[in-house]
Amino acid sequence: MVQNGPKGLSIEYEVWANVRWIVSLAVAVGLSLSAAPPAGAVQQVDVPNPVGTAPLVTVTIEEHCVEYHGADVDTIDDCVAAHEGTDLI
Amino acid sequence: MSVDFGSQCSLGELRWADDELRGPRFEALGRVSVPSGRRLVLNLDVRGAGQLGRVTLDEAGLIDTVRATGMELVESDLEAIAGWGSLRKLILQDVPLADLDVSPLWRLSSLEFLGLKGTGVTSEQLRPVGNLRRLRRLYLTSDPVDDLGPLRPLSLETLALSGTRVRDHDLAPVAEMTGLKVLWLTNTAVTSAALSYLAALPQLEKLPLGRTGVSDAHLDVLGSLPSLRALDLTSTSITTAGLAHICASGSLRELYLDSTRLDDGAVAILGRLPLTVVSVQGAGVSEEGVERLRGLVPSAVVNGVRRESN
Repeated sequence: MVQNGPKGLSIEYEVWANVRWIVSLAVAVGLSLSAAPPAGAVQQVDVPNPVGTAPLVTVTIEEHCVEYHGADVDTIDDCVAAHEGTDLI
Repeated sequence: MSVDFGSQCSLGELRWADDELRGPRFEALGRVSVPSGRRLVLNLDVRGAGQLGRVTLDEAGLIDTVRATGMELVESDLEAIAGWGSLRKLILQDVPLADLDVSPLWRLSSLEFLGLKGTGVTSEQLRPVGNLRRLRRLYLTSDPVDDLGPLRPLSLETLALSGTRVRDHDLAPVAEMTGLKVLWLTNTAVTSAALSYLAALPQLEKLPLGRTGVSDAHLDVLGSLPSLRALDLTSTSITTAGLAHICASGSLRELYLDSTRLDDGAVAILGRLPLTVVSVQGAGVSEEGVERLRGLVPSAVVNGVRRESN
């Protein structure tokens, strides 16, 4: 049993859904994120906008790591804690 | 069993340790009863800074993990965390620690996972880290660390040194870490001269060396590592001649060679390996060469053409 204060219980599934949506969109516009996780660093990846100059979406390290490591929390933490820099690989 | 977080303000979010991603999550606020056998994850937010001394546990070991990102903790917070008993994982990311007394952290004898990325922690501050005998994963990413001597007593499986100040000779203690499976050295001043320290790491599986000074010299060391499965040499100066030495290893499955100095001669070398991923974007391999490589390793994901943004 969990007894909470005034703010009460907050269930959030939408974060996971948003990550899926962003990565799916990234793949749709041509950035290959369907490969296995890169060994190098990905700080953020600007996905080119096919009709303009501004990036369409940005995939952060956290999103990248969640996408590749699913529900393995220790592995996600490992990925986030180790990545450094802005390599686009 | 319960944890009392105080009633005046929340410290962040709270999850069950064995059910993190699927939720539910709760505000870390007020008294939380913890069923027998379950443990908590506390993801601090800025509201938690300076407040951790208010947390009281009626039994040690109720908190499994603490994560804090991009916030300023004070020394009393570190003291409070150190008093939370059998903490297994502590992640302080982009939390400024350089000006704090971090010695309370070295009392967390149950820690297995310590993430200190972007904290500015120094080698001097890390001197007692050897007290954490259960520590298996240590992340010092982007920290101004050079001397690794304090890490000698540890039995690490993962060590992240990307973006640190380590140079070739600083890696001498790594040669004694024979249980090491993952070593991150991306974006450091390390060169091929450091590879000799890795020769005695029979369990090393993953080695990110991108954006370092590694060249063709001494690459035979990498080819002799019996467990090496994933190697990143992105943005180094290795050539096809050096690649031949690396590929003596039959264990390699993932190879990242983007922005290196290969040519189409690399295709035949790579085609002999049982790779699952190979990336040669901007590496000097022609489009025809990439297509030939795809034919040679049909089951692998081959990244070979760098896309240009508009």
